[in-house]
Amino acid sequence: MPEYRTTAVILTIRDYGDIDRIVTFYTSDFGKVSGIAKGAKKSLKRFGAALDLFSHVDISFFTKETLSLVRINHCHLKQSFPSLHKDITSMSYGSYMAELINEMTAERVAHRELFHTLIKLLSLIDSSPFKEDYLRIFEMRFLVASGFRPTLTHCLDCKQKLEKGPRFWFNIPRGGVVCPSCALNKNNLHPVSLGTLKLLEQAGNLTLDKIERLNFSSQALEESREIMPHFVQYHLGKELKSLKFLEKIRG
Amino acid sequence: MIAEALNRLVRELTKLPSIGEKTALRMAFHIISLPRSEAQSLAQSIIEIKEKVTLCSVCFNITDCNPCSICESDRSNSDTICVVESPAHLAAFERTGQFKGIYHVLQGVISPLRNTSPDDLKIKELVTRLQQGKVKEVILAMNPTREGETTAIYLANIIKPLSLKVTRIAQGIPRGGEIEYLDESTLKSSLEGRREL
Repeated sequence: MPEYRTTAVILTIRDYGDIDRIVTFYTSDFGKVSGIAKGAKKSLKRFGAALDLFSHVDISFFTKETLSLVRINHCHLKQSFPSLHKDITSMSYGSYMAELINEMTAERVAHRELFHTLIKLLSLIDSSPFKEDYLRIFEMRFLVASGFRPTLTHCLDCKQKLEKGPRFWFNIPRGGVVCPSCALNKNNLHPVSLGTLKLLEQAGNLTLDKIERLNFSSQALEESREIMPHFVQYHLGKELKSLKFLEKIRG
Repeated sequence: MIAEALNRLVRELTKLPSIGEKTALRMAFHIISLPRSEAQSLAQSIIEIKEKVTLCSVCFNITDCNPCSICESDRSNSDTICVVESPAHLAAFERTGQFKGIYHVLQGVISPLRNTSPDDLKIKELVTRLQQGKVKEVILAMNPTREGETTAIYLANIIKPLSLKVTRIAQGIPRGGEIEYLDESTLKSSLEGRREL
């Protein structure tokens, strides 16, 4: 049984039997992996505080072709993002990003850019003050990385570049924007301003070290909140629990 | 071809935690081999637990009398309330024989990944108990996990305005542990939570 070593972020943890835990983690080299941590509930010697939600860890595991679950051998904490659980909202932001990756990525398909985006955004949420902007940036970069990039620069119907106009319209099933004249007599469209479209486009294009420079206005946040989570869930085909939670705590 | 009654029993058993189809089938065959009286006793116990066992209306522990024996008894330290996640955690504290205060069972922790919000837990009921003015100290005894810490900090923020002492159970080196084998996070907690001798 070969042993693999990599860095990972813990996405989910659930108890298995009396003393074991099943852990799903997103790695830089192998993508999403699920494994069993034997004795994790009882003995803290091998895993310690490292096996906790959203922890950035060095992890080693054994795998067998015939088994879908790997066997986690060792886990060493690199970064714990300690402020993430100090506020119920920042905790739900972290949960949303973890749930998105867990639900929408395939097992053992590596995507380093997405891994580094997750680490960067968790670090930003961990630093104070955290902003809802980070969720929208993460969604956009996640969609780009997964091949679901929405069309935000030109009209889906007439192909005209979106340059002037107070308002455009986002079509969730078609994954893009239509101009006001093409939007006439069409239903289920979400209004969005040119400023918001440009911000989202930038969120998908900027290099990772520059994304914290983006600043969403309250209008941009409101508009993008009506589009991005719904667009993500449309492709996922189900509701995300962490989003329902966020809606509940927003009241 | 498997008898329908056996199929039904296997389906029901697989609904239990950690029971897969093979384990359920093995359990079902074992139940078939039992004397009729033992099988009836098992079935009766399951029915009884649903009929008689309930949650205590005061602390939300599992009980067969309401209020539970802990809430009814005259505890020597009844101005201290220990807030725990589940009845299993309450039982663990009771096994120590050290704590003589009262309990409150939240029935879970705040978890965005499970869509468990503060409204889904027994938090309102805890605040109502605290407002009655009999409690002086609240011990937050959730697991030291991400979700447990979120819940503890959320509760502390709610309880502190009531001018009560709020404490968190100690975190750090377990009894019998070896310092050189402990991770940095645990050692850091042990230094932060050190006490004077």
